[in-house]
Amino acid sequence: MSDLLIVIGTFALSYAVVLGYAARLHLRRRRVKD
Amino acid sequence: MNRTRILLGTAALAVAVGLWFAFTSPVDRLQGEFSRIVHIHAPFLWVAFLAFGVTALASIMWLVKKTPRWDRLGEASAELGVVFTVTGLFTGMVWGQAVWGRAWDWGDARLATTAVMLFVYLGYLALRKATPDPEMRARRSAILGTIAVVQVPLVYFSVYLFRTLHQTPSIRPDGASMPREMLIALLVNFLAITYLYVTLLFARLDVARAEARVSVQPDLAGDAVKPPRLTEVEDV
Amino acid sequence: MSFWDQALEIARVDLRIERRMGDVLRIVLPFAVVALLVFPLALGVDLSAVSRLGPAVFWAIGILFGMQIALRHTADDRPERRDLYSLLGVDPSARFVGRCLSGSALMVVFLLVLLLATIVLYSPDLPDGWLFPVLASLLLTAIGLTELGTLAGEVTAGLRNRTTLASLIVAPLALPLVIGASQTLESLARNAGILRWLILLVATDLALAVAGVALARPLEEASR
Repeated sequence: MSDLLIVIGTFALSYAVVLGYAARLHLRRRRVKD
Repeated sequence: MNRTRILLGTAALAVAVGLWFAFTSPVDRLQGEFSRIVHIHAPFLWVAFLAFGVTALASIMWLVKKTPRWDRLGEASAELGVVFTVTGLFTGMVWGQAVWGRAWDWGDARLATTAVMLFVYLGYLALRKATPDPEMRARRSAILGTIAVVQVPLVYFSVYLFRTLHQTPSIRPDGASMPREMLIALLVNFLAITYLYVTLLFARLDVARAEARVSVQPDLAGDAVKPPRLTEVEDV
Repeated sequence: MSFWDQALEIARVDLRIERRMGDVLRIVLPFAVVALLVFPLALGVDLSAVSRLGPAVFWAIGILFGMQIALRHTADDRPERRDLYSLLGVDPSARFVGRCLSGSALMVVFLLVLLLATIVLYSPDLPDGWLFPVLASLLLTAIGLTELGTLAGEVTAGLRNRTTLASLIVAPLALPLVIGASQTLESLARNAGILRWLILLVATDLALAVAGVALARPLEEASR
């Protein structure tokens, strides 16, 4: 069970980083639009 | 902008499908749940290489065509390259540590080359950050990108030689011995994550174009006339 | 002036400047020797391990510190000087080749002295017939590192943190040189073939030379 948690955590962290980049991109976009 | 939203939405969907496949596919007998990591590790590293290739191509194209779009493409792909390389390496380290007790595998030429690529990306982005003039920035980045294209294959080849002669087989298996359902899941994730990269690339290019439009100032009177560059003056 | 005349003249001027106010042999070399001293002390290893580490440490330090030589300030560092070269009709490729010639010469001297220091400090076990292969790999590594460093130096010309940024650029790309150089000696010790490593070094040097010459003109425009 703990193995699966580590795996889920790895996936979550990785996609969170990608999401974080996308979010920063979004903020940059909004700043430009002003 | 609407197009970007739609693209990103479909990409999120594709990733979700990939995740579903990743967590319902069969696992390796020996590795257990940890074998699922391959469904994020391999595609992310593939995208890292793809992004590098795109940056390299964009660099060469800029030197040939000198149009800003190639510079923007190089920059966008390099940023995404960093994101996917870091996470790709991270997932690999978790996998390595969990299954083989070693976070880093010196026997894997691709891994070492990926690490080198990461630092090339970081150097590329640091160079861009340090160069304020847009044309200079574009030119220097393009040159660095081109040098990297030449050197990175040599890096790969040298680590490969190193590995084969030191008889350190890679502890990470290739895909050859995977059960069919696992291969399908892997393929789905490859496609989904590649698509994710492409959509993020479009989004990033959107921002770059918008920023370029905003920062173009109307020429001051004197700016309209540029002194000739020495390289253009032929019979001095 | 022919291409090679230009290149040689640039190399000559460069070496002359280095002799008068240069820092390669006066600063970079001593710094590298200090690093040779730091290593075993930091590792706290026993004498036999030190002997075994000798060659590896030599190449690691030689390459990491040696790249500073390629980043030295040279005859054409100022934009005015570059414009002068352009006005005189100096071929940018000749400038690149010239700089590589002088840089390689300095790099070879640097590595030779460092090699001597390593032999003295680490007493490495050197296999029979080590001299020629080591010298060959030393020469090839010097050339490749100089080419790489010169390219990186040009691409970062005039920037703040230039040396550090250029070092960041060179270090990962210098891996083939590290591997080729160190594996030459190690293969010799294991009675395995050294030819592949020398070929790797030659291939790297050639690839960088071609890149440098092909990119010489955009580089010149980039470093004004």
